[in-house]
Amino acid sequence: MNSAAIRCENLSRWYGEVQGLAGLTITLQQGVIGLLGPNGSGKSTLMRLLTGQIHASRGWVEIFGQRMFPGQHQLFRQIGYAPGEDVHFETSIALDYLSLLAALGGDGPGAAKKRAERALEKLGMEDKRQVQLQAMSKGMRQRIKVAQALLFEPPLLLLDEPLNGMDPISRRHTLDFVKAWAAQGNTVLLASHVLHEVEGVTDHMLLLHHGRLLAEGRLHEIRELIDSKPRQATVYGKELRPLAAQLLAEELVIGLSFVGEDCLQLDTQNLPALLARLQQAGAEGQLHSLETDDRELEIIYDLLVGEAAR
Amino acid sequence: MNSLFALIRFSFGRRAAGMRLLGPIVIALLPTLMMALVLMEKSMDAFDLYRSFMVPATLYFVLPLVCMFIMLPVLSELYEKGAIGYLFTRPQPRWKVLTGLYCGALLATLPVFLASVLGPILIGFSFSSPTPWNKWIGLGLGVFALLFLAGMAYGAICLFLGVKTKRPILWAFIWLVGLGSTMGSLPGDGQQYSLHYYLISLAYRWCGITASKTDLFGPLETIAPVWLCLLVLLGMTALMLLASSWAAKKRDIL
Repeated sequence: MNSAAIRCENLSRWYGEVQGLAGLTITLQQGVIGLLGPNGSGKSTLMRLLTGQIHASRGWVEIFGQRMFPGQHQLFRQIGYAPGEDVHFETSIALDYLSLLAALGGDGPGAAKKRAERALEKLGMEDKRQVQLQAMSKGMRQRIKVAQALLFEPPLLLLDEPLNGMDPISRRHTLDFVKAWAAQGNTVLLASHVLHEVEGVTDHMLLLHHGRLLAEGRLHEIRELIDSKPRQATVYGKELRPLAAQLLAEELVIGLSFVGEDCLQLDTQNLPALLARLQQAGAEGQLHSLETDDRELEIIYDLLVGEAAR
Repeated sequence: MNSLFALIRFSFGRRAAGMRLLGPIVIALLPTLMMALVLMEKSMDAFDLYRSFMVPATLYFVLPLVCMFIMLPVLSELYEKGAIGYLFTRPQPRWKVLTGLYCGALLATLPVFLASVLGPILIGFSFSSPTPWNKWIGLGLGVFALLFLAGMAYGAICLFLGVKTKRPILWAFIWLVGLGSTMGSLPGDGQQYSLHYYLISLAYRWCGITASKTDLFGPLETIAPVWLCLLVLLGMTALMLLASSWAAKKRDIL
């Protein structure tokens, strides 16, 4: 495929006065792309726009160089889509449900059944083929959703929160599968509101918040992007007021607040310098413990989202 | 064709699975029950009773309710749950998906309509009707054909309402009961704007059912010719299917 897998230009969607997605312009090439954002950030809106389920208020979407709009059915030979909502064909058994969707791809009854069985095998669910969807756990139904997206082995997979409700083993299995799928030259857009779920399979992220693109790029680029943003450290100890005064005088903090007499929260533009100073204070016995917000990559995401929210 | 047949099978299964047809069948058998009660109380010609009272009751009450029960949820239910997204994100045009769902649900009305026709015939026979069986069968086939034709048209209206409106039950009641059976039974020229007028004209032409002891048919001053009745009923079916397809492209799946 020469064209970009996904191109969006000034893509916007309003629900009455509520902004679902605002002016999104992105170009995504082959590979796994993490689509991150809290609930209500516009992930599902973007997925629905990419699959022509809703109309754009402004802008456009291209999938492999072709415009996507509601009713544009030919493109679905190249797209596998697993929606965020729970599957709704509760009374169907897994094999019938997948066979129906395979038949909608043009397969005859026999071929549809075989294709459905293959998809179940890919997700390690071959023993669940005769189980009714309503009798499955949420995690199993999530895997069924992924299986239906994979029926025709499409070059573009759109997975909306596929890991919700999955147990750790299923998560690992699904993520491994996503990784392997992309390694074969395919594209996967993986939506999630939890960074660490996605970071295991890709470092290419799109971060959405309140319908706006907060950041896009490699994870380390996003880290660099936030280096200039205020960071936070929390210290615990006795008689912290003199220390607070010293830090302010040395201009190592831009803000501070006491959370009780023994706990001090510090905001800084220069976390490394502040940490060095606090280590010194710790060595002098002024501090009991120290926490920073630089624990996990997830903090980066929280920080970005927090910054946008402010 | 594979996809169309798969959708028909799916839709039929969804409408007819489990006890889902029980409600419509109970409604369809109400005229049968009434007929049995009347025949137990009074000495009447069962054939006349069926033709004069029960067929109009079936066309006016049973038909719209059965259509609403079976055809209305075909799409409204899928839209409500967002499940339509699974079907509309396949490489099939939306009109084809709608047609498959519609045909499957229409098939599910057949056993209900059959019950509404066979019930009175069996009651008639069990009360030793003097009318020869071939007249019963002829009338039964005629009524079944009427119900099927009307089911097609009203079913297509239900399909359209299921896509177009978020309050399909209210609108279906207005269209099927208000503009359908009620307006079709009121005297005056307005009658001709109701699908029921054409249905009643066909009932007259095919089954010899006239305005009647029940007054349910209203004083039909002119009886529409068969070709016009068929044109209106089939035309409305086609029009509503097209409108459903148009509405499906316009409506967002949320």
